[in-house]
Amino acid sequence: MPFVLQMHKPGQMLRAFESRGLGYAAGMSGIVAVTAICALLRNRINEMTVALAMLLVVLFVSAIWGRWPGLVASVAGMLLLNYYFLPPIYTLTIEDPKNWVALGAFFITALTAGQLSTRARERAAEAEASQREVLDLYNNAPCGYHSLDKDGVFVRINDTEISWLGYTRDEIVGKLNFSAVLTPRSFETFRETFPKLKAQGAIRDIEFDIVRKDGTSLPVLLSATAITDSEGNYVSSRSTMFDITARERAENEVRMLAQLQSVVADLGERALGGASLPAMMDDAAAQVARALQVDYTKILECLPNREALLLRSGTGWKPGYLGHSTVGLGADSQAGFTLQSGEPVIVEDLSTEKRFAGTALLHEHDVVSGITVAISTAEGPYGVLGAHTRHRRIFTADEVNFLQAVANVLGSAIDRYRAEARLWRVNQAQRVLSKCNEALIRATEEATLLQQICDLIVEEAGYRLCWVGRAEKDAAKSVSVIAQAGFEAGYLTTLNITWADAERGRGPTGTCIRTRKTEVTKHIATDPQMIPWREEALKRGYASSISIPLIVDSETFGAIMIYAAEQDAFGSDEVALLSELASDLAFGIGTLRMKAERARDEVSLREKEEHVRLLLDSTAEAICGVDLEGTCTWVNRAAAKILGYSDANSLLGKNLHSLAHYRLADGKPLPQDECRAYRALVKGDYAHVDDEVMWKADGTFFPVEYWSHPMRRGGNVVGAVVTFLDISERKEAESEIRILNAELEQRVVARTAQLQEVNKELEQAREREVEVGFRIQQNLLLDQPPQDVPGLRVAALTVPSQRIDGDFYIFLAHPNQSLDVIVGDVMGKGIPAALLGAATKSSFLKALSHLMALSKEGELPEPKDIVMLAHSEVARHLIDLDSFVTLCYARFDVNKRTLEMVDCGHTGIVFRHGGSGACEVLHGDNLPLGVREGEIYNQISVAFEPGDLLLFFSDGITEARNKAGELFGEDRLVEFVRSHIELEPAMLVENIRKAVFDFSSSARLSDDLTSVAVRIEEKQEPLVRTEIEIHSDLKELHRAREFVRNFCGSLPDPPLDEDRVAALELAVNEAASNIMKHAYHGREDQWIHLEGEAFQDYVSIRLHHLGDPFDPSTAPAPVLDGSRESGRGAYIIAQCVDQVRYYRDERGRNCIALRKKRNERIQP
Amino acid sequence: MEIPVETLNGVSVALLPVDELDAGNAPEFKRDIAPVLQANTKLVIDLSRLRFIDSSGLGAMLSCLRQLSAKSGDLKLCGMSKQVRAAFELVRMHRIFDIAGTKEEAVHAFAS
Repeated sequence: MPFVLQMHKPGQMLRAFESRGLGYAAGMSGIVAVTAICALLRNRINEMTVALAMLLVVLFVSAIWGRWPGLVASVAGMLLLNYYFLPPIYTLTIEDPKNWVALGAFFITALTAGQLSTRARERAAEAEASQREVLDLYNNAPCGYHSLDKDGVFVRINDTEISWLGYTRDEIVGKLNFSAVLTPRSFETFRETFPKLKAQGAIRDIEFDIVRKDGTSLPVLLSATAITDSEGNYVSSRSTMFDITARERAENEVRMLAQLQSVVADLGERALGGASLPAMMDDAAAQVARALQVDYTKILECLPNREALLLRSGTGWKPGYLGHSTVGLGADSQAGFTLQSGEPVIVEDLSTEKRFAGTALLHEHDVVSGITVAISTAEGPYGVLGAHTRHRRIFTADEVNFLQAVANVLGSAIDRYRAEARLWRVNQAQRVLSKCNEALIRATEEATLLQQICDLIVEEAGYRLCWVGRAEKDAAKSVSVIAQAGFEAGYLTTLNITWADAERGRGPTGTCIRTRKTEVTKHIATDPQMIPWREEALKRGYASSISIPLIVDSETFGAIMIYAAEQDAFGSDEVALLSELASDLAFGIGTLRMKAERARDEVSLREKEEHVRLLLDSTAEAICGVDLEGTCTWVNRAAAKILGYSDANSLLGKNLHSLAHYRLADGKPLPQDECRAYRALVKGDYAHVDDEVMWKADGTFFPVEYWSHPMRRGGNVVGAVVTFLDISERKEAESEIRILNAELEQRVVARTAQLQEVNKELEQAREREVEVGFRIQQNLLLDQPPQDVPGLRVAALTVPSQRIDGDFYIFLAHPNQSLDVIVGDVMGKGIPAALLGAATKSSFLKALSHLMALSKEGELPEPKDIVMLAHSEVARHLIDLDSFVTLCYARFDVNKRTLEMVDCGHTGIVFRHGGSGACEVLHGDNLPLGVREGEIYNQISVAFEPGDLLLFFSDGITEARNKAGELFGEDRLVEFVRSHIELEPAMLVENIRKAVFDFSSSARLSDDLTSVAVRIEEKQEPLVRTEIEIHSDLKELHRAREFVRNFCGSLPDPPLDEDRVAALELAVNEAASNIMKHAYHGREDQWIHLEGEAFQDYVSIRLHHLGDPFDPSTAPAPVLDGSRESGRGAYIIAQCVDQVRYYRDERGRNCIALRKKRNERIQP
Repeated sequence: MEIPVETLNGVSVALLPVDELDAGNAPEFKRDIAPVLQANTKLVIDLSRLRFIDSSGLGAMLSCLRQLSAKSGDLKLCGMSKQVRAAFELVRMHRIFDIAGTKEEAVHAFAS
């Protein structure tokens, strides 16, 4: 239609005006033309025909140009009709009244017809306009619309959906089948739901993944109704589609977090459950691969000599790499770089990586991207945990944190295994050492001792072979086997070792004897020293060995050789222990030799004695005869000589006791009637004494052994023969042996003390392990309270007690101003409680993400449903472990001003009303989690108002005791909250901590002290709000600045002064520049979302991004002396605005929020 | 960017030819000022066109000063707007640079 009257734009209006002029002209000329033609035909037609022809012109003009040209045409027609055709002709007068009526009828008919056709035309125009409007609504709606025919082919589609799909309209309508733009999974969904739509007439909220023309996918939510014909047969569909990318992303994020949490918790539990280290590592590698969906995972272990890293465990690598492949430790490999930097290392593209070259292992597997983190243990770095992909991938901060958490769990598991292994080895060594010492003390003979030690080393310590070689002093300097134990199968006879510096003397044993130093052969298979003996040794399963010299009385006696079936079995601990053992053994050999020497001396003394006895009969030397009074009746020369008298006869008639036996060694007098010899004499008994002394003429004494034999004459005792010996020499020898024995015993005592020391260290290692666990659990169990829920101010505080506790809390900020706070406490303490806490936490996250996936957009699952689903997962676990969890799930809905709460036996919530300041404690009536399976949990709803405050707390607060044993108690806490209405939430929780510490007057607590305060704020609606998205390209910085300028220019009075605008502009510029450079690492294809909001007192600009979070606390302090060209960004931001906050928003994006006070309003 | 250089009383004066110097164009400026820095030991950079400078721009200025100082030369800045001056002051860089009001004053300062 050429003339469309749509008076929207000035051009159209002009056209309408012109066309109306045309209408008048056309009306006039039409009427004139009709008049002229009819005038020519006047004789053949009557005036009625003329009137009809004119009426047609009027109708035509009205229909096309509207009312007024029609009216003008009617008037002109009436006048011309009258003038030319109604008699009297050529006058405007009418004679015949009939013609008056005709003229009037003509005029009225023309007017009415004109009106009618005008209205019809306007209706048509209106209908068209409204059709256009509807079409515009249809095409440009913020959702997709389409209709599918019975085969699923698009018959209609709106522009929005066309732009989503990326095809042209021509490619779609009548050609494209809906099923052709779906992912395989969605195709299945379509196959199920399309027949349902045809049969039932409607489907609702079905999720599809659409594949765009460019291959990218788009998650949508589709609802449809069917259009049917009069018989109810399906004709086509009416479908709406909503883009749910943002929702998917949020869901995925929560789901991923939950999954990652549960992996870490699982691994921790496995580590506690006593899985073997290799199994644990394999498990960790597999779980990481699954959780991060990467092609490769790896656990690299530092080899003992720190020369390389061995691929211990992993997934995805080609056969033959695991357990064999090594990578360098230098900074040129990613792993080496990771260990040196101690930080997680993220590689986006190995081929453009500048920091290191990448190892053959990675290149041979076409690795492109990856992250690696160090596995640290109490003894230093163990190795590296890594995840790699063949495709380019950007790892999020959460994924990096997750990998680090797994590495931490692995590290603490390794610490624990090491501590256990060390305990086992030390116990073992302790047993061997104590048995060896026992053998040493009891040993009487060298050969037996050596054999016993060899036996003990093989049987108790579990080595494969042990032998003692003696360094012979012969010409060949041969080494002969003098004791052996264990499996040798003829090995020792093949040895032919010498300790000379010759070919067969340069093996470990020969070298050890020659140099007197311990020789350790870590790998018999590869050690060149072992070449002459290698084949035989390997045949018998010896993989590593140690040779320790035995030095007796500072001479090399030989060496003790021990062989193990494992490679590198002799670590520094073993070497130290075995060296101690060898030195004890050498000492024992020395002692034995000395004993043997003394024994020989003793034998010679005994022989002498025998000789004396013989002499008693013949020459009678060293003998006295005494009478019943003890008086010497006969003394031989030897006796006189021993007693220091020159003349034996001078002793005759003297009392032997008073002469030489009158005092004890300590100088105390010994009366005769206490003398054992005399008493024997009186009784007529035999006596033998070897622990007394006799006194010489010169007043000195000597240790004596004497025998007294009664002399009888005719059955009556008449006296005794006393034979005595100076046993000084023997006594000396004896005391020497005693000293030696004492020394040996001392060594045993010292060794035992050493062992106790080692055990103590072990205990400390366990303490450290608990420490490590504690730190991990701190990270796992406690969230940071969110800062960005409008209308809520949240603060949390936890003071950990000395041991790990199972307190945890979770904060989940949802869109639409609601916040879930979950506070829980697991019964018990220690790592098990912490792990149960983590498991409970992860099952809540899992439950939430599961229910969110099922719910409609914008609808959050009810807390009670979340609690019940999570409970169904953990209940059995808790019941099996005899544990339970008290918990409070609270949802704050700022818009509805309600608190939905599920209290499962927790401590309750202190509720302070803002208006009255009155406090109450909210309690539910549910059982704790893990008490009864299938328990139904009730939810209660409480209304709140701005100004109200709610405080969650752990029983650590109420159960703190003072010195008198009184509890802090709920009443005291409630009173504290009631009386400190002026405190901000952050200060309130801090002051509660102080109050509890003051009360208990102790710096230590037996229980964790947890409190979370939530205050409802007066919600402020922004006066102005505006937003923009820019690319993460430094060239776009000027757009960020323009945004700030425009935003500041749009503020309601008073305007922001120029200095503040400039400062805000600079701050936003720096923040955006930081995000581009650091959060996105220079990637230019990402987005930054800027939001500006103005309030009464301040303006706020937030920059949201999906890059790495920026933590200002890790930024180096700015250097303002001009020595550095960069690093001032964060400083500038902080200087330019009144408040900067770095946090994650409720959609999981990282956010930098800047706030600047507005100018003071000038008071009139 | 093309940096026009004029000589006033024997001192080269380079005009910063942009309104805004930020992380987006600071590398370009550093690249294009390099020959000017090489050719001169005494240099005045005229900032009179500049309306905005950010930390990267400040870093670029600092780099110019360093390069000239390294060969015992000197750099003076002139023609700063209030906002640009405020950015220099924020990071205390007004203490490190010689800042003159106009390019004539800057050239005069070199002479004295």
